[in-house]
Amino acid sequence: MPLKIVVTLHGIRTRGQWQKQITPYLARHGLIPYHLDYGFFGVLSFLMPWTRAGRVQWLRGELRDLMDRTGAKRVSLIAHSFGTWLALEVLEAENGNLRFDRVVLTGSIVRRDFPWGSTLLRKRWIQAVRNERATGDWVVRAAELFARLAGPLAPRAGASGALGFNTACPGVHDHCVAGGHSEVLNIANYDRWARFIAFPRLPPDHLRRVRMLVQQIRALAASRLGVDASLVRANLFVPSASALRMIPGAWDNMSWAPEHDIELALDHGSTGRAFTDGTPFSIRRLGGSWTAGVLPGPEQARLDPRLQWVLSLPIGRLVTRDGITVARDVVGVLNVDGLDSVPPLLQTAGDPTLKTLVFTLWASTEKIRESLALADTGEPLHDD
Amino acid sequence: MTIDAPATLTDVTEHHDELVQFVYRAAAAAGLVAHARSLLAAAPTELAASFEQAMLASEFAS
Repeated sequence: MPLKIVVTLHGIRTRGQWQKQITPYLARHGLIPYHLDYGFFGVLSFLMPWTRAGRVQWLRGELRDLMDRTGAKRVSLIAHSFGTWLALEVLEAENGNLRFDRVVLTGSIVRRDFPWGSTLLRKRWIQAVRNERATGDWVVRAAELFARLAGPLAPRAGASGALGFNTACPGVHDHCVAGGHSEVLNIANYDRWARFIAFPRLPPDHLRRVRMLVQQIRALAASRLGVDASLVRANLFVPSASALRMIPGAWDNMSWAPEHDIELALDHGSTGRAFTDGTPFSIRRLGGSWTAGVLPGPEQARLDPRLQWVLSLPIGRLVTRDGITVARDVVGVLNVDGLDSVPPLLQTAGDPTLKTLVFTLWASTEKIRESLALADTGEPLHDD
Repeated sequence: MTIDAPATLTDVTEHHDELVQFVYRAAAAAGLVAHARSLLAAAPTELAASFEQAMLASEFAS
């Protein structure tokens, strides 16, 4: 999984002292900070359309230059106040040529009807957003008032840093505190922001629990399939940057290193099918082919050549609709797979014993789902 | 089809009848859940708790 670059952007009438303070928190989660400073930007400059436009052009250049030099396909972002407005103006101006990974908005003055549904879900210009807002933030309310009163010269601004977005959709996470414009820049939040951006890489608390559950599910599967445990493996895939990728460390017995970097299309193979359909899926190797679609060449070459079968379990809320149980709001896929041979039980589709086993393993992923859902928003593990 | 050939699931309809897809009908739910619970009796408590949590959270066992 590639290292993530985190661009930080300050607001108006400040040089962003918080940008220096947040660095160790980002480093702790394996993130690379890149602090941008456009100098002291006064209120008067904010009110002038041409000075605002100048800063948008400046940021476009900075981000393009950063991505060119590092080869990064996306960057993550933490922005405050005017910085939030700048970042999303750039995103819309670039029209898909420049994309963000995970974005933290603090004291946001982005308009409240920002089209998250299209930019985040449909076009995938952003992977996820965490909006950190304060109910008593009069600065962002003033920005919205100015935007309403100043007519065509006004920025497309709003009080999303106080009132939230009215266009929220999956992937937009709202966090609210009491207080004013700078309250959200609380050092107590920094670790959560770093966790949020580092996802799908899991922080130690979530990783410990997820790994333990993955180990247990693998052991249960091996014992019930009557297979030597050393021949059964387990791993966890989650969507990341338009592909399904393995979460580093959230696996058990995965000793074939090239597999750790596999990238799957969201509907590809057993894993992708389970992710898309929300139902368990299984494939077996039959001589030189598989019982379902194969991976594209480069990805196929990463597989352990001893791999013989894969059982993919979608991780989501189990619901029964129209007589069929499926996983909704799927956050990832747990794969239990095996080497050298296909267990006899797996060759008897429809066998009640097999159905029971698969269902048991499937429903036992609930606590993994809980951890992934928390980690996806940057929240730490709560004690049971 | 060889394992080197790029393909997606929609390209392999000839293998469709060989797919092992587990779809659970609500009619079988009660028996399935009972069997699953007995299977988990000897499993680690974390797994049993996770299973029960899924049952509680879902509409499956209702």
